Amino acid sequence: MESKNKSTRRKFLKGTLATGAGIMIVPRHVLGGNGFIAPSDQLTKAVIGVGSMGQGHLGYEGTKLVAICDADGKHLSDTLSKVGNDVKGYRDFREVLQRPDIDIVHIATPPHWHGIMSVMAAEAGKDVWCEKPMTRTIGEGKRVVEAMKVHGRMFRLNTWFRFKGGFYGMQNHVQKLKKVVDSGALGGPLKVTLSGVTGFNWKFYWVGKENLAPQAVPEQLDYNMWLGPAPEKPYNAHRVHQTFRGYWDYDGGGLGDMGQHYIDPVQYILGKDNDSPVKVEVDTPQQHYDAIGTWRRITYTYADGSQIILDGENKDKNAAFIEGPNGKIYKGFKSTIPNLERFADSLPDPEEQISVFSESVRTRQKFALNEENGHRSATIVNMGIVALRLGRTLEFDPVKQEFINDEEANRLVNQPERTSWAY
Amino acid sequence: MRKINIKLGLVLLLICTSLSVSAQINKTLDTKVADILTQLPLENLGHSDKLMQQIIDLKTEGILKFCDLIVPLGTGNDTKARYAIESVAIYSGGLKSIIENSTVENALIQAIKSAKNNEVKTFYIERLRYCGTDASVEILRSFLSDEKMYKPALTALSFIGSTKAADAIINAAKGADNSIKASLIVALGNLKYESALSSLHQWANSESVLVQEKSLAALAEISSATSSKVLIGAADNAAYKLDASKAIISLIHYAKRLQEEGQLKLSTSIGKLLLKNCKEEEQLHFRAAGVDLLRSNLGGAFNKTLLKEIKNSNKNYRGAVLAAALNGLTSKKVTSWVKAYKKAKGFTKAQIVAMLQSRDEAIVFDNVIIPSVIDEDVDVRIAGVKALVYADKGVALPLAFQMLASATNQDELNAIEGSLLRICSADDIVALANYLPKLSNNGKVVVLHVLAARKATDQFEQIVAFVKSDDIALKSAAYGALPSVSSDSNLSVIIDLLDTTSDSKNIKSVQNAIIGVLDSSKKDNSQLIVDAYRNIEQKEKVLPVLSALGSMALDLVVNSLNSENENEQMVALVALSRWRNDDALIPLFETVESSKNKEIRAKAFSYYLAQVRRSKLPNAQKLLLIKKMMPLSASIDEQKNVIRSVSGIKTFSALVFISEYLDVEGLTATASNAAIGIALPTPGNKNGLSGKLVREIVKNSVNNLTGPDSQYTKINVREFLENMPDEEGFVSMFNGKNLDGWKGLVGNPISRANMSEKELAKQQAKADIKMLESWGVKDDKIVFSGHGSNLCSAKDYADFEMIVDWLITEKGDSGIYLRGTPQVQIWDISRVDVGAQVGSGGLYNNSKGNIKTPLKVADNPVNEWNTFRITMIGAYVTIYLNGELVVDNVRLDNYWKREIPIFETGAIELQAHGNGLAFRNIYVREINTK
Repeated sequence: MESKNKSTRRKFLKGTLATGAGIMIVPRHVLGGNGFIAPSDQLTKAVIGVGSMGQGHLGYEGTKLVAICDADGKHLSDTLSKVGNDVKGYRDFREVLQRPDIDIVHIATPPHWHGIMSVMAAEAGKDVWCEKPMTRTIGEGKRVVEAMKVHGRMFRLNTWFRFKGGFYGMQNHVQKLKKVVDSGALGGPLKVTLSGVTGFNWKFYWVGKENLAPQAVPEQLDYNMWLGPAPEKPYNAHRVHQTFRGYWDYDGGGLGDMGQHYIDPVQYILGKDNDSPVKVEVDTPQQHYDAIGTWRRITYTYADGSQIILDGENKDKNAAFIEGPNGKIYKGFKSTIPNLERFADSLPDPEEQISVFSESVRTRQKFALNEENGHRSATIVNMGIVALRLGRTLEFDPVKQEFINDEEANRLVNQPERTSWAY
Repeated sequence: MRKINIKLGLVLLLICTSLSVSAQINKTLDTKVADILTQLPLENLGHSDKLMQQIIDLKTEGILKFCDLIVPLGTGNDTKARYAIESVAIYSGGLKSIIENSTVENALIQAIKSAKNNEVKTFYIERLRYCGTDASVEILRSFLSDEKMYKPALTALSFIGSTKAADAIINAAKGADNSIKASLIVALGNLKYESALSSLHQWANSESVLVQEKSLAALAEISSATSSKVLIGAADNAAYKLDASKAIISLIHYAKRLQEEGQLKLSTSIGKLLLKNCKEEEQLHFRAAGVDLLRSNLGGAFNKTLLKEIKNSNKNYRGAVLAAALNGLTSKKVTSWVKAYKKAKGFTKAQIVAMLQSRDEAIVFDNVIIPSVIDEDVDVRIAGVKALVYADKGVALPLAFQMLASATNQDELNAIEGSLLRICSADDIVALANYLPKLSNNGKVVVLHVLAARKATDQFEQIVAFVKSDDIALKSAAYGALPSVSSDSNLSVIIDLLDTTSDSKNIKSVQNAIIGVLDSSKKDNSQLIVDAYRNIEQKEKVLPVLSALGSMALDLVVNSLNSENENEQMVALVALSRWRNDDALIPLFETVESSKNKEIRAKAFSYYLAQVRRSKLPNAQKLLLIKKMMPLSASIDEQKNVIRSVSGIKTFSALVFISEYLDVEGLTATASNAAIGIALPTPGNKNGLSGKLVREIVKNSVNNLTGPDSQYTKINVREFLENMPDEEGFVSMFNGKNLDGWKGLVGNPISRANMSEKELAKQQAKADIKMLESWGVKDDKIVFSGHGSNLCSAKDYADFEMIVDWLITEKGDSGIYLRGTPQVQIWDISRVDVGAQVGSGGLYNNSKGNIKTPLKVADNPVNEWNTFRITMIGAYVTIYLNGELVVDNVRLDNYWKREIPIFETGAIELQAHGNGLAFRNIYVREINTK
């Protein structure tokens, strides 16, 4: 099992043990004080995209909302009417990025905008809080990673199960699973199954409609801006607000919607934050060129043999959430290993993950789910999407982040649709 | 003339022959195309390659046949043809190196040429993303000056990505207007097309800022050394600030790309320019880019500059500097950062500690980590204690403990606790416990938290002692630890604590501790709890624990519910709401019915509904239990709650119940949402309801939908209605007002068959009059007067499914005749004298040797409603009583004439027998099994 094991880093410090143990700690002159957070102006934020997902971002704690932006005038006016008078509304996000007084930009648009906006926000010196899935293509994700690094920005992806709360069917903190897996109690390689059986139902109502008749664009919507980098297709209400997830041009259906929620914590548990699967296999009906359909099964395999299986039709009725040669853990943390909860409780907690974004922004320490590990888990989603669209098994190079010997698949890694977004 | 005629005939014959031959060829092709189309979309891709090869085998001509079927969006259904073209493009593109791609590509090119509609054209152009090659460049370039079509064409050319494609783009760009030109330029950048350099250098000075911006960006992507002057010049013009040309961004990209290609010298010189020119606050993230570049390019040699940069007053920038410093940091250079730490002040110190926290070097630990944990600045101490996690436990723990001894700042205490949790396993429990007495109260709180997290049951005695502390925080930490550290042997101690504890949060902790022990214990501890309840004055302290005991404790809770003490009543009610089985439903219901305290009644109302929703009872029974609440509701909100509680029951009966409230003021929206939820399938399932009544209810509901997803739901509803099979479904047998659709009983099927038509009509008329004396309608129910004979459906039924609610009073006895034949038994199960203890639902009059008794007793008490769901197919009957299977596909024997099978059709009859009998909600669905 390849994981960043603390004990390897926590080497026995021969040279320092004597010194350390012998040192006298002198009482400090000043204890307490103003607290950890240096008094400074409150952090400010703008929210881009206030249709449905963005509504949640308005109230996220720790920051003051100063600007909102949407390509739909109605979203904008509806939202403006319920926030403070000091919040300004914009139709064009580039004007938001130009404001020097904004610290954090929340991106709650459909996914086809995530990559471009994140990069532009970094270039404008902003920190970014982005909705999932992180990007619509693997190539866009690579560009986000680079932009954050180059400009020294903080990034958080808006899913949280790797550091907070119950985890769907596991009804338990992911940290507990991480402890057990890191302890080696299950052995390896590991197999994770995400399905209704293990408590992770795939939402197949995010399917698109074939043969959408063109409709008049509503007056309040800047459809051209809404499309942005996406190819032009005649407007139909089903393409946009709330139902966009059913179209390849903007998202990836149920996999795009829930994929990172379900898979990112698995990537963390498996210790694959700097890795990607080497193979993806799909069992799916033929996919439409535009409207996303359902699928039956997607299987990812890592170089070490670990697997992540998305069982869309809950076929394996006895599936464990995670299993290794030495044990299995089922839905609700039930296990073949006796007293597993107690065992997990006995272990030290995993490495710290900063789970409050404003703390990351203030201390400049990476957030628990940042552009790097977020890009890796988005890559899992996007590998699946490419395989579904092509309807075949694909092999992937986790270092180059390209498919192996498949030009068509690689054409979908970097989709040049963004060339058309040149206002 | 004759000759001519013959000639003409020959010619005609020839023409006809050749026509029919070509028609045959065409027909064959058309048939082949049609055959393929019927298979699409493929459910399984196993067969896909073969099918796609078949399409390719039809040649360009055949592929164009598919294209002929494609029409502008919304003008017809061409879905299958689009599936075919998409998949064959993918298939052929995927095999470009092996097979002749041109067949598909040529077909697409021809289709593009002949298409009239832009969307259709775009569809073909987009398919070239997979199988496009140089052969497509010619047609695609023709669109590059077309305002409406250049985007898809440009995208396709970018996918093709060859020199020829790039050439086409640059040539088009030369003559394009600025807005198209800008897009073309972006594509050239993406393609890293070096031949475009000279044009791009020129365009970088365009009068159009958009063209400038995209040209600079493209030059950055291409990253030729020859572009440095242009890019640097542009950034200079922009004073290294972000302006419309975005020159500064392009310059940074450029340097980054140069770095990737190994042109480090040039990349480095740009990095230095960034450091030189980006000093203002708004430029610091560009300066950060310079740092990032130079660190990668220069490695250790750049360390010196980094040490200088760390003195910058901007903390965000310092964060970027330290991230760069950590990248490839060698042990040798670590020393310099240790020194920097010593010189640094305030938050910078904390940042350096965080950077070095996981380093192995002894010098880091000695000279940074150790001093940091005693630094006068709390931020530094916090960074220090976080760093301890990466040190050896043997040195880290003593340091953490020493910090604990004096820490008072809450953030610091939290950080120490976090580190202890990351350092300590269960093996360290004793060490932690041994430290406890030496610590300040603040420190003790932290250690108690850690002991609780590690489930230190062995330390119970020491921990529980702190509940007596005068320090409120310590006291509550000790209480808070109890649920984690208590075990069987501590049960009496924690039970005793209930009496002496007063703070409500602490009481809760004790209660949770007790519940935890009860749940995990292998012993039966119930007597201890029952005694505790009896002995304690404040019963409400024990009440919440009782739900963990089950039935034996129910009496105690009910006892408290009936006490004089309102607080005690309330706590008892809450205990009932958490009851782990359905036993609490009865006392909750009784409370709703009889409590005079409004608040208690209202709580009982919602707890009752919540319990029913949560219970594992069958749907039919849940529905009955919920329906009972509607007449007891005291407000519109309670009525809404009833409706919402039904919304989780996906049955026809539930839908019918909901439909009664669609037009009730104040309930319309709630009822409509519930109705749609019940009728439509749940995602991924095929459990939608169907039938005319369902259709009608859904139609009535859809326009009243509210909520964020309503727009989407409406689309789903439309689709649901379109796809619903056109069948009658359940129809009502009883209109709720009168006995239309029913008739009186004449003899029996055999005797009736022997009557003359006239005689039968006479008898029927008499029976119908008698019927009205015996049967009546009261409050939506069919009721029986106590005298008379069966009530018969006017219609005869063959195979059917029926739903009916029935109610009997004490000693009641009735039944339902199927096809005029007795009967599905209904009786008061207390009538042991006649064998009624077996329950209702059995086929009572079946012959000896056949099954007569139900599989189980599923009756509700007398005076309560029951629901039958009866299915009869052929001679076989299946019955659910209140959702429980009681008759499983049993043959119904012919009671009237034992030697013959049951009649093929006949009336459904409600049996007259005794008094206090009522029926309601009678629905039947005829099943066409022919």
